Amino acid sequence: MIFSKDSRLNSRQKKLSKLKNLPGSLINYLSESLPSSSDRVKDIEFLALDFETTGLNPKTDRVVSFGYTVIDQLAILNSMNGHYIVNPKTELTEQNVSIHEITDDEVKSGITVSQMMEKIFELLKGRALLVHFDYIEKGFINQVCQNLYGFKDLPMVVVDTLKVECMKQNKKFVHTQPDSMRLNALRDRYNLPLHGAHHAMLDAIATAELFLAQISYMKNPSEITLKQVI
Amino acid sequence: MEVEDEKTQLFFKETLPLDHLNDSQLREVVKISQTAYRKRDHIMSLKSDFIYLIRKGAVQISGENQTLKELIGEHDWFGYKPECSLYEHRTVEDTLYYRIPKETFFNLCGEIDIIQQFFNDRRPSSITSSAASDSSEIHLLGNSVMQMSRAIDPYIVNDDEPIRSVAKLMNDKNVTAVMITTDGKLSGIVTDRAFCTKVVADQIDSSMPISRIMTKNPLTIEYFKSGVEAMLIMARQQVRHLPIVKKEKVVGIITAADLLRKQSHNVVFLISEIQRAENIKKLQQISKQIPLLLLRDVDANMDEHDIAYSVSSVGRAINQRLVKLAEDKFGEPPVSYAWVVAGSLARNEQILHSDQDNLMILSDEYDSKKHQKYFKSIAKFVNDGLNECGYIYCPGDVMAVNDRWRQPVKVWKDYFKEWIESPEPKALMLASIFFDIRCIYGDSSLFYSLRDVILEKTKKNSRFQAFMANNALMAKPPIGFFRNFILDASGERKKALNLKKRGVTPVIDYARTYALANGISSVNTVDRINALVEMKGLSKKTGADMIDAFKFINTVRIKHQAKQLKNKQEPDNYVDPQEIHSLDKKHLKDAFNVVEDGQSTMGVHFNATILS
Repeated sequence: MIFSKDSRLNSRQKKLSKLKNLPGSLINYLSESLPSSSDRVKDIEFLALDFETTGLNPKTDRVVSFGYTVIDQLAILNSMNGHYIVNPKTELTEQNVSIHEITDDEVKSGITVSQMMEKIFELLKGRALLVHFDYIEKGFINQVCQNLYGFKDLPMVVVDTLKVECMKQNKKFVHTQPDSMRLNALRDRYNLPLHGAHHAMLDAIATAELFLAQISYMKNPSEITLKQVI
Repeated sequence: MEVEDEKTQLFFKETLPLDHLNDSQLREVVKISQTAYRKRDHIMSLKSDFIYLIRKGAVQISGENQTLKELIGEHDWFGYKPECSLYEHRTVEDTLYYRIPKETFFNLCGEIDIIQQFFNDRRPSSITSSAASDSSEIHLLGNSVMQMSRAIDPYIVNDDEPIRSVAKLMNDKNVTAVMITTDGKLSGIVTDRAFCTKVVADQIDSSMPISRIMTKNPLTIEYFKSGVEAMLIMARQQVRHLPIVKKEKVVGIITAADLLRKQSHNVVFLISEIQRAENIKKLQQISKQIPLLLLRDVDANMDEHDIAYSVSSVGRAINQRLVKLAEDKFGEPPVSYAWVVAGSLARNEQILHSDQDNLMILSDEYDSKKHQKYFKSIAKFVNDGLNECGYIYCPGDVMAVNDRWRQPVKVWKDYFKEWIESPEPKALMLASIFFDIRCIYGDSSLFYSLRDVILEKTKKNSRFQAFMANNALMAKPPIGFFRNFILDASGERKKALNLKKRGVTPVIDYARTYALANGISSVNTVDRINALVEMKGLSKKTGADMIDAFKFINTVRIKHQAKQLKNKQEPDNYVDPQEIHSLDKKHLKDAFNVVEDGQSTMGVHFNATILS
């Protein structure tokens, strides 16, 4: 039973890879097996990812930038830190400029949405996705897949630090994010330095650090398996 | 488009010694670093091919039997010492840290000496010296006096105890002093000396109560004060025993001998060695210990004011001893005289790398035909001796061997009359050293009669004050230094900042100008400023700011010299901006701004600008 989710992911990967006109990076992604739920967290590589978007609705809003880093052996590899501006081909509103501090000009010089997806496939290959409040990243990735390749539900293993925290506190996970569960509030609980939010790469690193702290606070951190955090 | 992780880079840049890296090197270090986290109370397993840096949190390093070696925090490194594998590294807070592969790191910045030195020879951080239970002497002197106190019983007697039985008690118990209590409260102290100077010399009946010969209201030290502080009181007040009190109750005693055993390079020890030295050669040997004294003081985190005081005390003692040796050699003086030091030694602000400044004030009975030979011999002996002890001949020739600076009181009065009443800018600049003088040997009444005349004149003469203020404005603090690197082109090292000339001297000149204009007799810069505040010549805030600025600049300077000593370099006043920690740079900037503000107020105050 416990492997059912893994096998579901596997078969879906195989099924999707038969689709036509997929970019090479996606085919590569689909051909590489994903971490399985019995793997130990310490042996899994995670891609901590953060999107900055024009709003919360994947159908109407767009990704303006994304940032990431990689965790291996429960350490953040700062050599893997990265950040890209994405050109959403739509005007920014003044409100979201002030949140993300990215100007129209910068956005115009960014990469296209399909380039973004190819980058993400490359980075995510064989890794688990690590986000804080997966509603955004998962939602946008799936919407873009629908728009670009005609399928929903990209097979991926997602770990959400917000869910991890809910599990730890025995709270029911809700699909909104209370203030006490925001990244900075949780970071503070683990004595992590305050960070000025809303830069995609810094947020991705901040999420990665939070995850390391959460794992460190579990019993026998090096024995924790993936299924214990998803 | 990619961006760098500026925050991590900034954190690295603010971490010693990475502040010596340029931006592209820093970027590389960020890239090779990894971030990890351990919750509190985790015993870390270190990998030998990494060095570690704490981003947030704290790590306690302990050796065998849980002896605490170090407690380190944000911006501190660990895991780089060869012996660290023997120690336990335990997080005492939730800790986020970086680990950096050693080999790649040293390949990246290995050619930078300072970085090599930092990781090869790292002195314990300041937090260590107070926390560690290491048995080195420094730490012992940093302990409270209570921890060093002797058993108190043999040292306490009632005030009605007869002199004779106290003497017997002291002899039996082999103690050199006893504390006298009246109704349980400390009322006096008696040292073995009192039996010579009072009982025998004054022929006091030994059946009288001990209170007859005791020194009343003795100096005491509070139980929580450190051994270093006890040492300073002893050195300043020339006492060898200090009762330890807690809420007015005697709880212990500490003696100079107790402290001496703890440390052989301390000021009390050096001075007593100097006083016993029989020749210049011996003094020369002792004077070689002065740098060690400075290093110890810096390591013990002593205040710069106390460090300069202890170094000056040794300088003073060497002067005194040399004059005494000269008198032993050339006989009793035919007329009275005062041996006077000038400049930093007079101000008790001497640190290392000082030349000698001294003069002689002779009695007006002096007859050059009869007495010149004697006094010149004394002066030459002392000046040569000082030179041999490392206080090099004064480049400006302000030395007693120079006939001009070895004169009777009346001639000195004429000199000062000339300087004060008809000042010449250049002559006055050279003469400013004569306004910081202190008599350290001989007939001090000669000195005081001169000093009173000087202050009487300087107080009244506003033209002189304006000239002094104008002189004081010549050396400007290097505002904008760290921004523009406007450097002191006259210095031997062009890329460095002369902290003495551009930082310390402006404050000294400032304090001197105000002190002379207000008839203040103190010579020490901090004392002068405090005296000014007390007589309301300066606002409390201005006074406190100036003192803070002065102390801070001097602290940076002393630390710089201590570092040079450690590296076996000749200590100097030229500080390379690269070696100053970024936080200190900010404070230095603030300090320079305070000094500049003070200068401009002074300029207006004394109308100094009209002269420039």
